[in-house]
Amino acid sequence: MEGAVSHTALSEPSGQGKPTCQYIDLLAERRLSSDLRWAIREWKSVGDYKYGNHLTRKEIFDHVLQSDRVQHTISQLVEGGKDQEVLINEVQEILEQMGHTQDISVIRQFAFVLPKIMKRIYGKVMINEEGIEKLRSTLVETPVVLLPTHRSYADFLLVSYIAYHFNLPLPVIAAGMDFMSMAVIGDKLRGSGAFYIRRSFMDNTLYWAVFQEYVQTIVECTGAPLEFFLEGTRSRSGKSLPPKIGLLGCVSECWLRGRLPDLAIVPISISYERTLEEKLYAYELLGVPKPKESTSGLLKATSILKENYGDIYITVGDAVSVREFLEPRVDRHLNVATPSHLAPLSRTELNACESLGYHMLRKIQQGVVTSVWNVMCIHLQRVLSTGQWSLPFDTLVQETVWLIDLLKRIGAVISVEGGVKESVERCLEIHREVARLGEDGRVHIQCLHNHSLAATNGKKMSLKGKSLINAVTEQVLQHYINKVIHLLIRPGLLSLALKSLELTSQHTTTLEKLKSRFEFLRSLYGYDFIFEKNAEGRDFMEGLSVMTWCGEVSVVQDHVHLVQGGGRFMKTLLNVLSPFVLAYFCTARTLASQEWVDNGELVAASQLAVEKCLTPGSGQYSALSLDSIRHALRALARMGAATRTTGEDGKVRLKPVVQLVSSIVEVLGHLIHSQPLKHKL
Amino acid sequence: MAASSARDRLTVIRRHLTPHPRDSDLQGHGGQAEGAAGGGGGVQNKGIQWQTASVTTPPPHPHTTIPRKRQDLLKWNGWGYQDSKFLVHKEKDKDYYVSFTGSRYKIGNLVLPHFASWVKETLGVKFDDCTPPKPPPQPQDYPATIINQEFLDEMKSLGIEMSIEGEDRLFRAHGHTLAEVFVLREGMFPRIPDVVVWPGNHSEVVKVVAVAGKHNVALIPFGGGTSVSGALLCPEEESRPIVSLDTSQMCRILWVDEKNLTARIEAGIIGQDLEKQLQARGYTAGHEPDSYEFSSLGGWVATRASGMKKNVYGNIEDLVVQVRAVTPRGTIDRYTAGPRLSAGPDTQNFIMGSEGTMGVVTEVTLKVRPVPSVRRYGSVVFPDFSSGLACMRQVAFHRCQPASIRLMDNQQFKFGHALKPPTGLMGLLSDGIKKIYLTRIRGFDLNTMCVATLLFEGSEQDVAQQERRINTLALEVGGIPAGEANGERGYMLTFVIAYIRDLGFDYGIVAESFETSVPWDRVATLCHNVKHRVHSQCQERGIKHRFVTCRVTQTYDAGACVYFYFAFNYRGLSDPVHVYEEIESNARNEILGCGGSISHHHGVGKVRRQWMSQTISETSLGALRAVKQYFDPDNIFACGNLI
Ligand SMILES: Cc1cc2nc3c(=O)[nH]c(=O)nc-3n(C[C@H](O)[C@H](O)[C@H](O)COP(=O)(O)OP(=O)(O)OC[C@H]3O[C@@H](n4cnc5c(N)ncnc54)[C@H](O)[C@@H]3O)c2cc1C
Repeated sequence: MEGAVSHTALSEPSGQGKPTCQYIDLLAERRLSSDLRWAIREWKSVGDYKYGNHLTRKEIFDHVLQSDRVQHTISQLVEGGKDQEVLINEVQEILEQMGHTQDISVIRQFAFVLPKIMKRIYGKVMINEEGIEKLRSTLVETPVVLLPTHRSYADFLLVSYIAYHFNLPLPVIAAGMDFMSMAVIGDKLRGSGAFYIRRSFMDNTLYWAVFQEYVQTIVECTGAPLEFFLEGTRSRSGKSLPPKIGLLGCVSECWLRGRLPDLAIVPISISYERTLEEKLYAYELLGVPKPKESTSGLLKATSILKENYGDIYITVGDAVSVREFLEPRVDRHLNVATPSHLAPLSRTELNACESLGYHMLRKIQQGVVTSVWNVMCIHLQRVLSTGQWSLPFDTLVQETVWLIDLLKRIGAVISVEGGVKESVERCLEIHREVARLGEDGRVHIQCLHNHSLAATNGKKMSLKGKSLINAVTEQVLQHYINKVIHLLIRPGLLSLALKSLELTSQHTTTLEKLKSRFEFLRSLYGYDFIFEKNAEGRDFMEGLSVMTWCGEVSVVQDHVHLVQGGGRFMKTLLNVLSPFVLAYFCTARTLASQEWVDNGELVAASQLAVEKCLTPGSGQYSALSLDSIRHALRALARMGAATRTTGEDGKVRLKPVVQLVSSIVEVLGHLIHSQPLKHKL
Repeated sequence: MAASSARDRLTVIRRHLTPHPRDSDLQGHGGQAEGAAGGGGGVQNKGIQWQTASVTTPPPHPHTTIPRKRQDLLKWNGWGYQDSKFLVHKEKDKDYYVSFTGSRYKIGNLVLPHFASWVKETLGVKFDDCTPPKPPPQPQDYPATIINQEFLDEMKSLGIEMSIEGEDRLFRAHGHTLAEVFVLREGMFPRIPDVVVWPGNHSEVVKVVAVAGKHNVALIPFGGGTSVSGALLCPEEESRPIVSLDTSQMCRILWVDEKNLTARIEAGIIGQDLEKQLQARGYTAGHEPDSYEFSSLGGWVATRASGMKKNVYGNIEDLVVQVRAVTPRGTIDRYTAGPRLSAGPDTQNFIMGSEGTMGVVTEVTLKVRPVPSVRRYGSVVFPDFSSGLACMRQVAFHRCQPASIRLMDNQQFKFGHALKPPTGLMGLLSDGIKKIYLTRIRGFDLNTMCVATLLFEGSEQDVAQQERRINTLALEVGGIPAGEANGERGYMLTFVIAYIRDLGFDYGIVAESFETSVPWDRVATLCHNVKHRVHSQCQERGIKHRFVTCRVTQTYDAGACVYFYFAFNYRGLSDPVHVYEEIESNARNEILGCGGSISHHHGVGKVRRQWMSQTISETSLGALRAVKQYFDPDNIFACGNLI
């Protein structure tokens, strides 16, 4: 049995001196033995929480209904004139709709089907075994929250499957309601431990109370591992999304209100070499409406079964103690004298939870295993930005070798099998829809836009068909670039800062000026990229040290010099970020132009403004991403560049704060107009 | 204006009530009313009368259990009487065993056959590896004294007893925290009192305080020396001479007022002497902190102490009617002995819990009760801690607490068993039967089971009724009455447990207790979380062998007092005291985070001062500082406790 497991050692960033991580292939054994026997094997979890109690669905429901919080909410609503009986029924209904059942027989069905599918579409499913064993010992000691990345529907049962594979306690999973309505699948997911949450219910006090109590009952009483997606939804862009703190706050409350001694939060980074939904996402980001998540939608995905989606890498990271993280940031004693259910989280506590969210996203990012393909996409995108659709294979390999080397040294974990050249070939095979190796020895980038798909979608699109020719392909490339962009963003923003200060080789700037410009950009891009709170200084130093170390800048006595107007790495960075510059520039300018009624209109107008700026050879079509535009607007509003008022007609209006917006437009404008950086290949 | 309108009203009322008032009568009453309102003559008159009475019949100076040379009777570097301690024995070809010496306690002169193996198992003790304490210091080992000769001269001329001997000074330099006893065994305090003085009564204290103020000498009151908050430690940075004001010679019961059931008592009396003397007259104060053999009335007041039998007699603040204390500003007094007062914020509370920062308590009027006719123990076993807790909650809910009710967790339950003396064949048999009954028939798990001990006091009828009620409530949550002997042993062990620490020290074990008060709904999670925190802190520091346990020792309408014991094997750690303090500090943070308080009865002293601002607001702290500033502008009471 041992022999069947293939081990791959990935070298970790050399600087950190960590031992190399052993990844093993979950599918290796499955390829050699019967799936049925695997699914019906004797199964018992090892590593259950030592103080956990097994509660049945009914017991959980009773616990929730009897809880002070729910009872209090009911009595408040009764005071407001509602009928108690009706409310209690409502709670029962919410619970019926929400509640999970965890049934090992359903898990076994998945244990039978999933390997079959995975063996078909994936090469290897690699996981760091050490992380699993650490997780097991953590699970015994303290309630655990599992936070996997969310990049694909495929994430959904992966963690449960891993638990089955390693005989870990099965997680209870928070799922969006849209899954529930899927025939069969909805119930199967419930049976495997998913519970369903409505998308928006903040104004429904009863639902909110039941939801919180439900989640906390699972964590506090059963001690079963709770799994949810910190990013709230699948990230279409491939980047981490800003954390949603609803669930995180809810579980943190167990510690904040002194009901649990601690909680361990375990980051799980799932890296797909190829995302099932790559094209779908591209359209969605461009504004093609999202198809309803129905089974038929998934079934259509059966065509997926014919394709090759490469490998999956899963890193189970080290647990973060909620107590250790939050204790220095909050004053628990201020709230403990109020009955727990009457003491909602304070502003400070919510902020601390948000910091925890960002911290966890950073941990998740650090566990990402980068594919050679991600690196290749950076180059492919640059080719597009020179107006071309192909490049020599050898050039691509050389460029990739160079960047891989560099990325490794700044902390990337990259899976390279054999040599880089072989890996590049392999990636071109897997991603042949996006780029393939031609007979002519050149790599040809493909136009992915499919007129019929866009047309059948009924709803009118704002973008021109012509734009889509570039846009879809570039959006897909951007998706893969985004999977490594967290490694590049700090030196990247530093490069933008340098550039925006109009630094040429003769001129220097002071560290102080550079830092303040960096911080400005960091806060402007604070939704598109993940920065830990109150870590401006650290981020700046990280960016600066990478750039210094790469020989792009030198620092002499508080003065920063740009070496020869910026070298190869800096150009790469500016190129990678250029779509983001364009998107933010256009959005800010659009915002500045008038008073806006609501975001929707403004988003569309901004996208239109971006489109006007684009030319086929710009390589900036991913600036059309609605994601970035929305993030830009959020950031601008947060920075005070727009004020939000509710008019007499009840409509929310966004009014630009002209001076501030103009100054932002000006800085970004500099970056757009000083773009002599595309170097010819 | 207020006074005159009060007088007007009184006059009107009086006219209505008295059809034919005589002039002089009216005058007299009116005058008294005026006096009371203005704080004038009437009351003073009465005071003088009372004083003459007490002067004409001076109570004899009674025998004190503990001599002035405390070291003659008590251990100089550990807990309690010299003749009482745990001893480890080894007979040839046999295992080690432990016994307790002396005949003061019920386990005295008994071999404890199970204890050695419990210690080995739980705390990883190797009996071959013994570190005895260092011998008593030589004269040159004591820190140099800072002497103010004028102060000494004045003391001498006032005839107040004093000492500058190292032994006397060292004995009053500390209380009984782990850190303090560790220093006694292994090293020396950087600072100890320079002089010890023994004023004999209130007026001598007044003189000492005045002279200290005059010569700018620091004073630290010393009661029984049982402090567990670092309160008695001399601040290292104090550059003035430090004088330990030992109250032990102020130990008379000045009078007992049988009509009102009160007694006027000097503050230096220690608990056991107080009880002996009161009981000789048929009364009891009923205040029994676990340290009551040694701690003093003044110490209780100064720390807001709590006695085991508070359910019947109340805590110290319920027992105290009047407090008299000497501050550098003057004497704090309450003239009335009325049972309750609506006269602004209670200024006696400036003294209660002041931990030696404001002045010296010299006399106290205490409530007393007739000695109850029946005193009976009891115990109940529960399948687990949470059902035990449910029972405690119910008992408090129905307000049917016996004199004392305490719930031990499973670890402490087992610990208690480890301290059982050998039982005869019959005892073994009945123990065996009990065990089989509980585990086999009732399905109790020896690893979750816990026990509550009970103490009843009152008339036979009262006690019987209380027993019935408790048993009923216990049965409802799955408890089973487990007899009187278990209960009695539990309370006896309370006094003995303090001696175990000294044994532990010899074998690389440090141990300490800490306590808190917490609302009912948070008791269970607090116990769980604090134990978890301590365990995980130990784990982080590589401490393998440890013992963490808790018990609920008091119940109230709104919550309970929880008491933790924590011991660990420190072999392999360089600075066990520091490690202990870090862990306790973590535990305290956890306690506050779980809704517990800084302290239920041990007080703040120096070791818990850092949590004061998380306990009361900055404004409240400011008020305390302002009060201190008023009573003691030159910081004569310079112990540095509390604020
Ligand atoms: C084994 C053990 C068990 C204990 N159990 C209990 C318990 O059950 N309940 C409880 O409440 N406490 C308990 N304690 C703590 C301690 O016994 C109490 O705090 C007690 O009240 C201290 O009294 P003392 O006379 O020993 O005071 P000391 O230790 O001498 O002094 C304590 C503080 O009070 C000040 N002080 C003493 N006398 C006076 C005075 N006359 N005027 C002004 N200030 C004065 C001192 O300066 C010092 O700051 C226990 C301690 C030990 C070691």
